[in-house]
Amino acid sequence: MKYFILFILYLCIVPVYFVLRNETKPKKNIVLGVTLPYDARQDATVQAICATFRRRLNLVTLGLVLLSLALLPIAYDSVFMTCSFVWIIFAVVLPYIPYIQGNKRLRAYKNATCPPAAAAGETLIELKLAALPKRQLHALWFLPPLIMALIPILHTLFMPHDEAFLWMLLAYGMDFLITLLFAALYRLINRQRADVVDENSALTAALTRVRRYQWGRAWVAFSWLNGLFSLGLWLLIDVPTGILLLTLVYTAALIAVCIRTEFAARRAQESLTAETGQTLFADEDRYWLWGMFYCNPHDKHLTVNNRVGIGMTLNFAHWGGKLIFGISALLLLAMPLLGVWMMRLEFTPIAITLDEDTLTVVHTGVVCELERAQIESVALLEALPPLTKLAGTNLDSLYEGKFRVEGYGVCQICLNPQAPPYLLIQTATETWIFGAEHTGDLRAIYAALAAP
Amino acid sequence: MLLQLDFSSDLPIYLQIRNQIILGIAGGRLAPGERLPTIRTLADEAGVNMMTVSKAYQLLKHEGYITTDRRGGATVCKMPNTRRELSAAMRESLALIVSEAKLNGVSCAEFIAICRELYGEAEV
Repeated sequence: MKYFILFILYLCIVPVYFVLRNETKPKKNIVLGVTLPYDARQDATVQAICATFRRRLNLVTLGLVLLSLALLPIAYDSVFMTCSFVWIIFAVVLPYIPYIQGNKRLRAYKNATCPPAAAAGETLIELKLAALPKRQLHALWFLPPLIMALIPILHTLFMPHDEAFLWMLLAYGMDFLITLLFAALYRLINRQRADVVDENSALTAALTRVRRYQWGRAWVAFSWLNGLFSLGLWLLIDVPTGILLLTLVYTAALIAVCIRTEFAARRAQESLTAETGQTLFADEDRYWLWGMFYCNPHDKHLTVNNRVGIGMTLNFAHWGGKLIFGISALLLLAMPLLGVWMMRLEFTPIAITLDEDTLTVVHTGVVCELERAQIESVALLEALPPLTKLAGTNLDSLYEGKFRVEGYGVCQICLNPQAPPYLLIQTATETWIFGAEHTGDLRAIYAALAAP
Repeated sequence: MLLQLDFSSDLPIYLQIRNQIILGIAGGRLAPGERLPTIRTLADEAGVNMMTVSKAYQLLKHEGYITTDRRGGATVCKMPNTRRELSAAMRESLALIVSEAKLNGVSCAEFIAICRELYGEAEV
């Protein structure tokens, strides 16, 4: 579990490191988010600013890696998760501090030494290119992954329904919607501006073609990966290890596609614009706060192309941009609260009491209250049968929620998997499995319930 | 042909579009019969409202530089100028420019030379 989380943590930091480091290589006349004329790019001061940025980025990244390794000895899952969530916030924010510092220094240097570009602050549009019809991938490219994501839904709908029916339908439905979203997002690229760097129409056409081609490849790949993931999830539904491995492979593949397409686009942009910036060239620095936040009140777009690479970013002058950023920032900052909730779950003991008529199970709240008359059968399990979580929590020391249990079907569970025995209770409609803090109490309750 | 829009300028965007398309046609960068982007495409490219582009196209159409179709497309007219004379509005604009040049100390000969140079650049 810990190594899986560590793998996810590194997936956050490694791509960010390489993408940020790549920002020091000029693409479309832009270095560290600042547009520079051709002559200034090889300037000693510019090179020194870039070198300082790379050094600071290395230090921040090394610090984050060491910090993540320091989390490994933490024994409790919930504490480990809380620290990991805090680490993710650090990983999202800290690497950008050297970038902002480098951007500010470079911009100050540019303002002090370079004459203003002829088209500084202007929006450049290649009229002839805009008039050409935009080529799009055929929709059939997205059809097979949609069918793959649909198969599990159809199977769940037409096979006999069990208690897990709704959960399964929800999970497969989400996968299908994500696949559909990938197909829809592909079309967004043709609503964005062409990559105008200067007056060279052929260059603009080539840069725009590179972006759209790589963007299309990425979304087709995402769509297929998600379709395959959905199919794999359905086939491995009763194999927890298989699902974990599948999730690992799926996540790694998604990240690999992102990195591959991003760097392919960056390499093309770098070589195509190696000699530009000598005459008239686009310079929209005034709309890019710290070189990364686009804020142009004259632009009605909610999303715009990143200046380099193939990604998109929000227009922070648009109300929608502020709203989406605000919600995302709140969700990110609220992640440690999820860890606190997990700690409360992990460190609260499970208490089972039996009075004359009622069996009550309490954890962080009342888990269930069963009338004796409702109980049809009771058994004491010395070991937990193989099970798969459908919904709820499965920490190393707590399983709580709805699980599919071998031999018993879908059960409601609340127990510590490291502390047998367990009480199995069946009513007319549901099956419950409980554990308790004190095993002696549990055995006594079993004896009382099993007595005629 | 590059369209340069300056959002901090006092000149409205629709006039900037209109002026630059006229400069493009006169300078031969936009050939007669050439298609311009649709209103929607140009609005997407510029990040402006479709009404802004529509206003520029309507003005250009009214002045006889382009023709438009029902789907929002536009084509540069084959004979953009058949009158062979300046309109009253154009004479008025020119009079203002001549006056400003005169007040700034530009001689008649210099002014004619500049005009000749610009006309030469703009000759189709």
